[in-house]
Amino acid sequence: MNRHQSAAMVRLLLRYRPDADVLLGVVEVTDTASGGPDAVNDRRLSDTPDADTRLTWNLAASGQFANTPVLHSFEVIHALSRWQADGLDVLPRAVADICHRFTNEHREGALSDTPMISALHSRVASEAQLPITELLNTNEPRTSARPGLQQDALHVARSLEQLSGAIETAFSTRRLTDHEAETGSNEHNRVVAFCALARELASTLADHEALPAPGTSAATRQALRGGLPISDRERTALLTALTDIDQPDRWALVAAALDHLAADKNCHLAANAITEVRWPRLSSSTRHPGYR
Amino acid sequence: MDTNPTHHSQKETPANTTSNLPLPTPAGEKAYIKHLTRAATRIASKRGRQPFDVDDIVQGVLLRFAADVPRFMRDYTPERFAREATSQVAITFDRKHRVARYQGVRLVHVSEDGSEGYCPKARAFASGSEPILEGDGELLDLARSLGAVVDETVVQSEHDRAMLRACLQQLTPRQREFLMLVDGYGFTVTEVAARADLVRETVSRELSRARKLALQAAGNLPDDDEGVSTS
Repeated sequence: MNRHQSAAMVRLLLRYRPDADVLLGVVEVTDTASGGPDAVNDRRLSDTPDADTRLTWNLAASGQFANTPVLHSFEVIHALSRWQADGLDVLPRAVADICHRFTNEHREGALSDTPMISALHSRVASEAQLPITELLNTNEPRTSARPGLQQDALHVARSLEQLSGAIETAFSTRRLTDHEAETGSNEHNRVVAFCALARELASTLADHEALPAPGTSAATRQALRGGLPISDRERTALLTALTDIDQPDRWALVAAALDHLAADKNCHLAANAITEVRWPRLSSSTRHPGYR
Repeated sequence: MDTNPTHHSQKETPANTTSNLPLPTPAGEKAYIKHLTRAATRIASKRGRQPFDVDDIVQGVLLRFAADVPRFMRDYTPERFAREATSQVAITFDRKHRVARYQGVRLVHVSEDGSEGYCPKARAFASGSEPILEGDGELLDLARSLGAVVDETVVQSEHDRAMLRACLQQLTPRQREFLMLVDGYGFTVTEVAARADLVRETVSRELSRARKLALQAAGNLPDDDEGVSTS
């Protein structure tokens, strides 16, 4: 009999917001007799491996899993995008697989006339049962935070904001065809989506103690691949920067690359953009052109 | 009527206001709401809450946002709206849950038919044992020290109420007020400070003094069988 067969079973409760791609999970243990955690004597450990993920682990004082962290709950931002980037390796494997099936099944969300109604009503829930042994954390504790890199994080954030502004301005100076104006431009939607994600990535890096945001960066890369009115050279450079952005020790290089993209006179992103763009501030701004 | 979009009583985000602003594009609105949802999740999660509580708070934030989408999109970045709204929604959420769980201590007298307030008869005086502030004593301990046997179905009695009243008489009106609000009605120290226009530390200090005085008074009270004056 393997260790999974003899282990206590637990319930994994999931909630997902498909519109925002936000996944939440809680583990319920009902059987403490078979080696499950004892709620009275447990300690809880909070783990923030990156700015898009928060995990809570139970650390039992005694029993079969004494001093071994057992997953208690988690929140993952951009869960579906994260799966495509790294297979949700921040979670135990079995849990990641269950989460992927769940989020993939509901990726479309509820159909609705307006984004607001869709956001309010589009929530799905599920539950699964699995052996408690699948929830054990056998990884070494991860410490992504690098206090000394806060300035680099801010620089990257500022550069991303500036680049978003440049892209929006470059697109806004392009004349829409009659068909695009009449039907609503898909290119417009893609630009809006990309710039919104780039801004979210910027603010997440700036606000979260120099932690990378692999879920948000993955979503931003996907939006870039979805098609933007930029040249292949620019797309390659931007994709490289958005990949390196998950490694804090490369942030200085990433910021330089983004600044170069925005300032390069040969880059058509910056055509007439430098003199005309409004630079959104990182702190609260009264106008947020990315959301018009 | 105050039309300043950023001024509102008790720091509430603006709600139920009309807007003649041009409507945002569907793509812009969709992107903003997604960003807002995730920002609110991050902020609520940072405070150590359970995930499903985080989700309920995010839902509250979205409901507030839905009150005037064009204006909020114009006046707030998603992070700023998320920050302000999450803070307010979380306060309301916590208070409702404290009431729902009967945690903290209730000093509200409930009539025989249970018609007074929101506490049923069985939990008239003391219920739960959650410490209000780390390291501080609980009023439940005070109730125990009065010699009353406190269990999960504490029932009010003239004797218990009289003893409690005798303890509270030792306090200044301000100390009594703080004790009642925090240990009785489940407000946080921060909320009480905001209402009294004081800094949190002042309220916390007064509250600690109040609890110490009440406990000392309880220690000087006669035993159960000797009875206590109800005056």
